[in-house]
Amino acid sequence: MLKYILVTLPEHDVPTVYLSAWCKKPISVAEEHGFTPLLLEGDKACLKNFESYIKNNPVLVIFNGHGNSTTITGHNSEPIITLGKNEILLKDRIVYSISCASASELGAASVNKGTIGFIGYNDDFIFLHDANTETRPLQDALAKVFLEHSNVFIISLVKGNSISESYEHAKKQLQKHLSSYLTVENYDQQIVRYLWWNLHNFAFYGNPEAKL
Amino acid sequence: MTKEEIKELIIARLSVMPSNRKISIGSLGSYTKDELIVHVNQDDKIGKKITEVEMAFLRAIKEGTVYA
Repeated sequence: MLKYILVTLPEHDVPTVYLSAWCKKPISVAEEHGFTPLLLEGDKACLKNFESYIKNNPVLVIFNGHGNSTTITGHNSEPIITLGKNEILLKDRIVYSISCASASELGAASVNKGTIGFIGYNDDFIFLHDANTETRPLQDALAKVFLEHSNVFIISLVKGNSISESYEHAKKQLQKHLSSYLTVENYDQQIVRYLWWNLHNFAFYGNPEAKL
Repeated sequence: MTKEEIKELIIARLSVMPSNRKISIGSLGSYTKDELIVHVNQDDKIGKKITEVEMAFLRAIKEGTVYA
């Protein structure tokens, strides 16, 4: 029986271009581990397509995009999941949302309605990047510092680790980057602040022992 | 610290940011240091977010929850 993972990959502004580009590697790793990716790329990352693809019963749903405490959006910031409207679509799945603040209310509420686990951020996800490599996000060494933990989380999960194990692996990666900057004399003020902010707001709700 | 002192501190930190660097704040967009300084001075949504992160970080330092 095929095990699907559903991934939204909007590309309408710099942050979504970066998030979607950086998510390609863990998707490849998931394929190597027997998962079949269902990709909603660019303008395909919309509610209509999501409602259609979710019928394949993916075990994992990954949202790359924007959001707030009650909404996760797709291409052109079109709402895909809205609290009180359709969070039931996430029932019986593990969800990872790389979008601002969606874990805080939507994540917890979706778990109350049957989502196995919801991993995301309790406040805005902020990252630094190099303006000179905006058209080549995977070559941006500065962005890597902020986005690598996200790939660590997904790869750990598709390799068979539990939500809590994968979450700890990702946190450890973030902390490693933070430590590498904090231990330098006259450390980089911006990098340290925003790495700490993302680490502080990275959260999960649901069953910590659940696996794919 | 007064609100004005906090603003001065944040602008001083932003002013040393390399000019090729941008900060991406979710759906609010990606900004250079010059753009961020304008937003902090205007105390708008983006300026308030930068200030919020700064104050949260300083509190965490004081509480000893930021460590290498």
